[in-house]
Amino acid sequence: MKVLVIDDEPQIRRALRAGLERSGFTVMAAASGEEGLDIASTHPSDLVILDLAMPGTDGFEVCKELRKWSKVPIIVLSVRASEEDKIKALDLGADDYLTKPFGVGELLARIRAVLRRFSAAESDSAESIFKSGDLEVDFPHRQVTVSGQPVHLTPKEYDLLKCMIEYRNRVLTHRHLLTKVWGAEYADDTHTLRVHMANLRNKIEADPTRPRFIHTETRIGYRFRTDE
Amino acid sequence: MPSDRKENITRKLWRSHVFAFVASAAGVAGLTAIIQALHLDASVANVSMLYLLVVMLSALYLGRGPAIWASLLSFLSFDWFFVTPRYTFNVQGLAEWLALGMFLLTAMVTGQLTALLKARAMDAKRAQHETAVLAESSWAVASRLDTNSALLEVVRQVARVVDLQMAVVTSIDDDSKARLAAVDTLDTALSADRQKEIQELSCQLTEKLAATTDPLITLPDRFENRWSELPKEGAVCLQIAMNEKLLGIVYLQFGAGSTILTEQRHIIDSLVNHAAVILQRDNLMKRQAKAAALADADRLKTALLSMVSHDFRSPLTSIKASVSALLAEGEPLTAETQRGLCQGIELEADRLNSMVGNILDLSRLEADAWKPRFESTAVTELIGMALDLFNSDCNSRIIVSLDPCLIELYVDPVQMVQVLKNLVENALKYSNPDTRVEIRGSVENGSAIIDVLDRGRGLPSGEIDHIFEPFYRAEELQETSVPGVGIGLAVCRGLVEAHGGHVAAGNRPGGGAFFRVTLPLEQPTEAGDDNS
Repeated sequence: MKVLVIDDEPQIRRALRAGLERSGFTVMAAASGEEGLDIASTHPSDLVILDLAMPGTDGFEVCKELRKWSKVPIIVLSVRASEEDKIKALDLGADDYLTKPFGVGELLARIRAVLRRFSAAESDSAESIFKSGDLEVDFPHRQVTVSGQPVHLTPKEYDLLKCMIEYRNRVLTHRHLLTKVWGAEYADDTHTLRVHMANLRNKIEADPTRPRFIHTETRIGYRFRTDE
Repeated sequence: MPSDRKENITRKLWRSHVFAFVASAAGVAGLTAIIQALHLDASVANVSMLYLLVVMLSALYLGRGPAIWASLLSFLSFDWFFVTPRYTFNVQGLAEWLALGMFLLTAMVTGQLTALLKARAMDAKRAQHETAVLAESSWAVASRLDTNSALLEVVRQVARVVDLQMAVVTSIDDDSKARLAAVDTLDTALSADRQKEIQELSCQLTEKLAATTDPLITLPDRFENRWSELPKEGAVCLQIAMNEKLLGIVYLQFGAGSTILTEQRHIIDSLVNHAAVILQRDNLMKRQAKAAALADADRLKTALLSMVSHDFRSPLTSIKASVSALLAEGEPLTAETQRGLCQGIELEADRLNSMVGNILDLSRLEADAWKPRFESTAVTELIGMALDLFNSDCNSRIIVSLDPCLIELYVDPVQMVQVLKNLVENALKYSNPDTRVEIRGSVENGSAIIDVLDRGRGLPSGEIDHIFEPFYRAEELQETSVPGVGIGLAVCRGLVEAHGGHVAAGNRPGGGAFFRVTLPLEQPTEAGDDNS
């Protein structure tokens, strides 16, 4: 697995290289947006880790440029309290984001989630049963059980759950979920999404104040977390 | 157009004069007819007295000129009709001449005296009116601290003295920019375009004036200064100045055809002086507020510096020490020791990160640059997001109990999560690791209440009032090893108050502290739409 790290901070490049190589990744590093695009066009990689704030060509431009010719998964690094930046990067085609400062553990979890989804899409193999903790979803039979008890979900709730499991551990923007489940004309109807999500939570979470699966990413969307 | 108007005014004036003379002539003619018809000259001893009555009435209601006119006409009528030989102007004998002469003189004097009296009475009435106007204006100056409403009141007093269509008061900011201080459109007939034009003109002129080195003398030709003459368009532009310093201008647009008398000018000048007092006071208050804000910022800066020197240095010291221990040459460290040192570094780094976050939050709050973005948020979701920020060790210490009535809040979720996070962090920090921290949500008197309760050492009495102040940390906790600074709670207060709520703290019976956040349950009206 080859990872391209684009960040102007040498110490961060060094730390990421050390952390990722220990987990078996081959790391290529670029110190600027231009260099990153250069490497990306000549050396194919399986994943790109991209800092949004860089002098010169910034992360947004790199993201936009990359997406013109590549489907490589992109994880962007952004600072706290900048939801707008995160949304912008996701809209430009980034797959997920990580807030600085972060631990290598978090980064590896994000990488795994993004790569899992990517390879699933490549091989086009849909799983038939999903199981995590008390939750079990049988896709062929559209059956959801919590602690062995069947739970009745409305069709929209079921579609939401299915979509989130498909993209588990990855951020899903409001827009993405609404487009997938309701259709493009409902892309801005976050209120509907919120109501359905609250109902779904009440049905599958044991304690909604300590959600196990459905986590809110304020102003951005949701993340379905599993232990994998 | 202006010349048309001027002609119109002259014609009107001319017409009213003609009317006065015709009316007094008609009075004389009428009286003569009545005397003739009723043969009063036979029964009444001295009909000339009746003519004096007409002269007096003319003086009272029509003015000085018509009174003289009536005297002359009365004299002639009396002579023609009632002095023998009748129907000629011939007079027989010295005595008759004398009597007629006396009549004319008496009529003239009576007329003039009456007119004078009338003028005096009018003057007294006007003086009284002017005094009232000035008194009300100075009352407004003294009692209304709000600049705009005080200026409007002064303008309204101007409108009591003259026929005013519109008044625009502009003031000059410190950067020589003109600002509309008060606009009053008293005459709704004035078109919106014209109103806008006047406002723009006022601002332009104010800036032009402020830019000239000697603003009290130089004036563009379009406007008139200090009443040299009424401009063509029925408007004047007066400078508001104090101590030779231009504070602004007032543009007065008068009603069509109005004339401004000297007395009225004087009183308007006095009112403009009142406006000067108001603008001057406004400037002083602004300067004072700016100085206070600077002092605040200065205090914050000092506190920040002292914080950086203490609270930032201690985690940095342990990071530096741990790293240098890892790098040092000599006996290799055991894997366990290495791991312990690294965990310490990570912990201290998180601590620094949280402090930096709080400082940034506080500075954004103090600069008024972090406005809440309200949206309806489930309370469980809020608490969930906050608890998500703590590790499982901390989470196992936290109990949540929620009143089923408390379902949704209309808040900024990012900010409210920050509030909860800081309160819980504070509670965890100041209590023993084997005690519990409780988050309790309830509804009381139409407000949402979120309590964070701990069983720690509690708050030192007498310092409860200060703990929400920036950079405050309880006296006895200073210079101890408990990490953190009194900034998290200040952020909480700032955020909750931005939501129209308030924070409180105190000690619990049985030991420990409580922190209470009270938030309005209904949507604040100014919050705008849910735009998430």
